[in-house]
Amino acid sequence: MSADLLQFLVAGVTVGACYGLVGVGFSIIYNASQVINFAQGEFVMIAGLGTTSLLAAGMPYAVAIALGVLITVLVGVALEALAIAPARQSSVVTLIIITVGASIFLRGAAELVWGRNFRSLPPFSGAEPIALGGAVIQPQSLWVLGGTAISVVLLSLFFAATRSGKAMLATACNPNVALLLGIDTRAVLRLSFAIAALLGGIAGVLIAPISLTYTDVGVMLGLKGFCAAILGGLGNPFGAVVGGLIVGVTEALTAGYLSSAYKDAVAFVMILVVLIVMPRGLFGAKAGERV
Amino acid sequence: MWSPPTSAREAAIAEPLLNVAELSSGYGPVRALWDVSVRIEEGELVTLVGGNGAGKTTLLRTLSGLLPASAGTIRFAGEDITRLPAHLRARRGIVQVPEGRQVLAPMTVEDNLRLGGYARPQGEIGAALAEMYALFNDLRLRRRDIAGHLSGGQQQMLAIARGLMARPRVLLLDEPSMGLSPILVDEVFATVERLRASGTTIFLVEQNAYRALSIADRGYVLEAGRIILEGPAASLMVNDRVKEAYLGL
Ligand SMILES: Nc1ncnc2c1ncn2[C@@H]1O[C@H](COP(=O)(O)OP(=O)(O)OP(=O)(O)O)[C@@H](O)[C@H]1O
Ligand SMILES: [Mg+2]
Repeated sequence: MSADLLQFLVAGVTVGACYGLVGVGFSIIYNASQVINFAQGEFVMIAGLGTTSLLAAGMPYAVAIALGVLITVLVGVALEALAIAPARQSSVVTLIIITVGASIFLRGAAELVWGRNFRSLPPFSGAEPIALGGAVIQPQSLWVLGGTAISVVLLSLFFAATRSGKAMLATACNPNVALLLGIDTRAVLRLSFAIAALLGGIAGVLIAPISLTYTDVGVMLGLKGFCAAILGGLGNPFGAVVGGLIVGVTEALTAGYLSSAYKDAVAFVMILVVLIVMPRGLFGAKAGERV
Repeated sequence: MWSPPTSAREAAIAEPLLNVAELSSGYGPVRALWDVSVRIEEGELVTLVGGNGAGKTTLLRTLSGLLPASAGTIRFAGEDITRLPAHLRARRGIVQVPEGRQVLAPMTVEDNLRLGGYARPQGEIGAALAEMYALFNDLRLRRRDIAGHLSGGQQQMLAIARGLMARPRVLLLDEPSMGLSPILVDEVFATVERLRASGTTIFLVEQNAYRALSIADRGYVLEAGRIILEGPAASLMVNDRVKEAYLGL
């Protein structure tokens, strides 16, 4: 394998893992409510910028990261409580439009707090690149991949082994039946926003040392995360991770071998192709389940 | 010794477990139920018969809270639950087994059953599961299988067992025999009789009026959203109108 190719793959997998985490958030909220939360990218932005401020305020780095992610979760819960819950009798389309409004609001609020400057976080551990078969890996890339892997494992344990996780799956499967089983589907929705914000927040702090963070950083990340979710089959959280890796790698290869001018177009082309050719994505539920 | 005033005590004694009074409901502006009154005593097997689109499912959905009542009251175990959210009604023991089974198709049989016991203390789930497997041998044999892969009859048994996992105080069964072969229909009715014999209070909605009235204590006949007849099951069986419209006699 050529060193160039390897280098592109490393870059693609790293950023793709973050798209994946953002995509998982889309899928989890979609499962709980059929809503596409277009404020998903803003979670990434809040965690990154929040952590830069906490760090600047003199906190130890690890504490700043934890608090940055925690603040993001609180924003996610507040978003559900203040914007979604009061309108939950409305149509799904209305709720989606509310999330678009919320994303614009969050960007505006962030600009008041942080201004329009680009900021960055230092790498979690050392900046000394690691050589690997002619390519180099930033240590932060390993943090991104490790953090993503741990998040995905914990998430699958949550779904497989906890009562709340099963309640979430039941709600995704049939919200009316979930209610008949005594499941508080509103609490499930609240929890889904918390988890989506948590994952977005984790992606935000993991990626900030690699790609700068700024108030609009969530726009592209959100759209690419959405693409990851669609590609993986909307509503399939683990499909979204694979989708994210595919988007990230395709993008990196396009930037490397064609031109970085086309980099952002890749995700949009993929969204269109997936929606036209296989609207259920790679791992979406099959039609015609016996009822 | 203190004793409550006679009227209150009598009310407590006289009040049935489920007491539905002049209930109306529907879908948005479209009304589907008018002034429906139904009483179900503890331990009774009561059936509701009616043709296609009579409003049977609408009544059950209103009782379980999936649909809001537009007028009237629902009292359960002496409490007004007309405005109580659906999941809290389920937790109080009003358990609906929905029409068309509606098992959680991508999940395993055992996960379906465990979720049936969602509202119960988690320590009780193991024993309840064992009880269901003793009652429904097919489910025991297929407990690791995906619910969506079961046959129609097995899915119906799973839906009923999932409802029983909640330890219902009243079980609302919506056309459990629908779409099943005659042998499976027999099995479903035998199961319902067995549950009733074990003391479960049951509200059985059926299009198969003959079978339902044969095993019920009392019955109601619903037509176009209104209760048009009620009484002991045996007397409904010989009622001319019932015979003509529902028993094909
Ligand atoms: N989701 C809905 N939206 C609007 N109207 C509905 C809806 N579901 C049922 N209806 C209408 O309400 C009325 C009662 O329907 P319901 O499903 O309660 O009848 P049913 O007695 O259960 O019939 P079946 O035996 O076919 O199950 C019908 O006129 C039906 O068309
Ligand atoms: Mg019906």
